[in-house]
Amino acid sequence: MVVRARGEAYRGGADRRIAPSANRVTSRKPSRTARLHSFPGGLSLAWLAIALLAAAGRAPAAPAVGAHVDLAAMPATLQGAELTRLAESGVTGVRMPLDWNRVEPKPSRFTWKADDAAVNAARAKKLNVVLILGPNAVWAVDAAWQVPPKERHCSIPKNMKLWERYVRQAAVHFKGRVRYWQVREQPNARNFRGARPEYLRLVASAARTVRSVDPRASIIVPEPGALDIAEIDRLCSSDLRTSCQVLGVYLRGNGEASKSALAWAVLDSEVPGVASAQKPVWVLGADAPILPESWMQQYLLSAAYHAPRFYLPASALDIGWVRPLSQLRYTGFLRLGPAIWALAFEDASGPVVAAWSADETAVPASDLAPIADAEAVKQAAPVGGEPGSSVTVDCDTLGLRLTPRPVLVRGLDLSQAVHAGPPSRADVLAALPGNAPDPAAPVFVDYSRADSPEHGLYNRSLRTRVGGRAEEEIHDGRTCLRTRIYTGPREAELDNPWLYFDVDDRWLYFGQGKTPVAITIECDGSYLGAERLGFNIWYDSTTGYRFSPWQWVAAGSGWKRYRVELTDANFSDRNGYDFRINIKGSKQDIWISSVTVERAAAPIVSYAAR
Amino acid sequence: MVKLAWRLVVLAVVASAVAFAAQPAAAQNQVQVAQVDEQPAATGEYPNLSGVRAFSAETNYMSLPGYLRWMVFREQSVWLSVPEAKRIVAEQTGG
Repeated sequence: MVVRARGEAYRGGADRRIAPSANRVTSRKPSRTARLHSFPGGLSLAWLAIALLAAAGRAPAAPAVGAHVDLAAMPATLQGAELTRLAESGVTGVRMPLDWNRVEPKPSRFTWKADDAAVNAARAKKLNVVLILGPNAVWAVDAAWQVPPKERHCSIPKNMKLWERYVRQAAVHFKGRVRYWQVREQPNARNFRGARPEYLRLVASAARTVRSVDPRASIIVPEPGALDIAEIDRLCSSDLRTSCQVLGVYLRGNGEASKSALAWAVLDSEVPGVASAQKPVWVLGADAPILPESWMQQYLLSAAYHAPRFYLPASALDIGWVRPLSQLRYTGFLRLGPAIWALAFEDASGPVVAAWSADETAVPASDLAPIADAEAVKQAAPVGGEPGSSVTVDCDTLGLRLTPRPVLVRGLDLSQAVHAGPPSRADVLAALPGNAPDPAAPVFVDYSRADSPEHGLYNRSLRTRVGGRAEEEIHDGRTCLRTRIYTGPREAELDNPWLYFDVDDRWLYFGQGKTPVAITIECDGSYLGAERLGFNIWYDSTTGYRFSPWQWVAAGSGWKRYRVELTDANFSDRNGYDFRINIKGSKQDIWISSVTVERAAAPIVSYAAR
Repeated sequence: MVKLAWRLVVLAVVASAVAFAAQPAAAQNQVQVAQVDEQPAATGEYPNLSGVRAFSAETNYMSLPGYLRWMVFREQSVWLSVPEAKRIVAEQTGG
């Protein structure tokens, strides 16, 4: 077996290895679990947990797995069978809606029968219960808002007294049985027909009401996005930081391990609202249905960042992976994606490597663990698979067949290889493919360039976005990006007024407005004349997405350059992009020959001040 | 009557030719067109229109609630009602 001093793919980050003699990890910073000690609701328990961990000398446990399921809506027979299945799967809790329409079908007429039975049945199986306050009672919506009947459960109550009555009744009824309360399920544009301030008021009111009934209760505030760190930052910087005790996040879709890891890394150490308030971060689910192997990958990543709880839909739970993975304790990482991931854990049997690949690929075992023991490698298997089924032998070289479903390799001596602690932003970014753009130089797209037409700024991968089917077209001797605007009955299908852009995360990610940026757009003049063609930029800012001021493009042919300076940019990959050029409002299409993003050196006039 | 119809046809042809000539000649030189299904819409909060001027180019000459409704429909394929949009914009703009 070839022995290497260090995994070749690892190209950055701090040097944090397990001390060979102790076979233990010394992290460069305390874990989230360890930081819970200053979290008011968990003061004594967290200290106790830390003391026990220290005494045992063990790495922190993997997240407790929970199921998201509406037990109260199930027939009693199915409910019992489902709870038995969940308990046998290794699940420790359930998260379920306390549907306002069910418990208060008519104003002031409360009925708890179904939810009582569900909560009691879950508790009888030793499962802790999180109740979600919502969805909205359809009768509580103001008729004047003309909300379509089938959408009223996504709306908001017409007055706060109705909401507070429901919350108070629920808190009183379940006091002593339910400690954690979540306010609405993923309050995004799909689930919540209201403005952000309206949501914040609901949360503040619920927190005040629940805790007035039960001071030991904890409020979970969910983010609306998918590991949207900019929004999490805003939430935790708002007044909610004192009234809510747990932050809930939703995961991104399939094949997003690098994006998730980067968000986790920044959340873990850089989001001031989280770091200063030291709130535990729970995984509440995913933004969209994801494949079983993605759940496993995301679970392992969540373990690396010490998320205390990990909820997923009951239908996605599988004893085949929940049992073995929930026994793991994270110790460090060996290799971070994008193509191949290898994280180090330990369980009762000793060290365990969990490795996966976005696509099926065979790698020499020594690539993952420099001191790979042949006998240990020969037992490698995908989670839930037969021992040895992931082993390959090529010219006497022992290898592993990696797939999106993580492969577990037990019994390796990892003392010389593991980088302790959760991967930092630098660790994750260093593992991204391709060359990192020079942080001091601009990033740009220029499709006339034969080499590197997208240099640290990307549009091609975003042309499947709504309204963003840009075309590359030769125009006046240059290869340009052009829009296709359309107004008419097929607008949703044919109108493409937006050009989406993503800045390389290694160049700028979660800048929090500390890095003013300037975007320069070079485009052809307006052939229809003055004030017929214009644009603005819809960008990720410290206060959410917002528009820059409208900019008219000068009349006449010839290339024009426009520079838009943003002092509050907070490019965080929210929704998969950082900004888009919008020309809706123009009477003609635009031909853009280049877009350049640079760090603005001098103080610039702030559009944020509008 | 026939003469009038012919005049209309000729006028339409001339107008089309003028409109075509007004387009840049290179406009037909497409080298790459994205032909793929659209990804699911973004699912963050509703667009914040504070600071945007109503009935101007930046709102496609719509009111703020009207523009919000249009944006939400484009991104979510769901129409907000007019009163809802008015309420949400008022919350966003403090109005």
